[in-house]
Amino acid sequence: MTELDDPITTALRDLAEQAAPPRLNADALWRAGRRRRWAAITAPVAAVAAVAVLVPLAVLSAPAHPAPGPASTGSGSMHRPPPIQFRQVARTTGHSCPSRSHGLPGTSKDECFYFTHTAMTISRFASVTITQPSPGTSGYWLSFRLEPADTHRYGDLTQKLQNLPSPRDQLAIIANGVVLLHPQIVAALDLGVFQIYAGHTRAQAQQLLHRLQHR
Amino acid sequence: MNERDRQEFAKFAAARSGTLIRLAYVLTGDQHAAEDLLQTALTRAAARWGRIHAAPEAYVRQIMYREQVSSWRRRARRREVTMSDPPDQAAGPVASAEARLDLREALRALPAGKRAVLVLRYLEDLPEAQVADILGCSVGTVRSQTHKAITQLRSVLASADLSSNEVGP
Repeated sequence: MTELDDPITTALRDLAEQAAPPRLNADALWRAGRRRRWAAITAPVAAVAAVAVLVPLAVLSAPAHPAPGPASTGSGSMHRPPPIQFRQVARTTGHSCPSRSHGLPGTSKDECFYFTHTAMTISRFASVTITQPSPGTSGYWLSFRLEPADTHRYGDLTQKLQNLPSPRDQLAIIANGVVLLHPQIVAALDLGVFQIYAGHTRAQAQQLLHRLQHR
Repeated sequence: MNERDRQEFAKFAAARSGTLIRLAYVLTGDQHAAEDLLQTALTRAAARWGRIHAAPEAYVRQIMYREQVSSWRRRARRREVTMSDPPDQAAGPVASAEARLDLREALRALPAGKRAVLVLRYLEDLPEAQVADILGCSVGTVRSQTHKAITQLRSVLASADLSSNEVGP
């Protein structure tokens, strides 16, 4: 027993009372739980099948070093914005990317990101909005909602990153060949809805939002 | 997993999420992180609902504690904050509103592992053996983490006390 016992208990209760009611969708959580359960059951079988099928395909058709840059400008993409890539960060450097390197710049230009082959590409977000600071938080956040077709893949991708040492637990969000965000993934995000810190000011958040929406 | 399970889960989430978010908030110190933590725990609970539906809250709480501590361990290298040596004497009584605020902020600044131990010991009022069981560590670790956390709180409070007594030029 110490003289701090009672004050600690009181302070913890005070802290708990600062929490705002959660915004939860029980049905979505239930569906995510069910997917998680099925993934646990089917993953070993699926992994074996995937290796058996994908390895020969990769040998036959994949380039040795897939280019991480902006989308092709072929005729198929003339009327649609370039896609958005999510790529696992392999390493970062504190200077601009050398010419002809596989790295991509970040928003500050004085950094260069290199990636693993763990990645996914989406054509668009269902929505991206700026979230106001709420009690107990500071700064502005971007709230992302994925299209339903992308949700499961994104859940799988974040699942792979969640236990890894830095910087391999970071997922770069790339648009127009620039790493706009590179959040650390601390849990599998399999609901298709997630938030990323966007800066101390609304202007910083708006700038990021603009770069994501006007690719 | 059938429709009855889904309804039971929805009922549980609606009834207990208000209480559980407060625990998540104390553990994380941040509303968004608290919601993420609660969401992760409820998703895992849904995945195992068939086995845990008789006592889901204990399961959800355990996941929240363990997830928070393990995620902190993964980030520890970057978040570790070195503290000055603890003072020889304890800080004075923590009674004033200002001191309570200092203590609350000091608790918020504790590493997740130490904060989780204090939450279990002081907020949940659990014995050391049960704390060790929930966190998946030894009783000795619980004792040492508690001691280190309180030493760190004393150090912060002593610094705050000294700075509040400083006189300007």
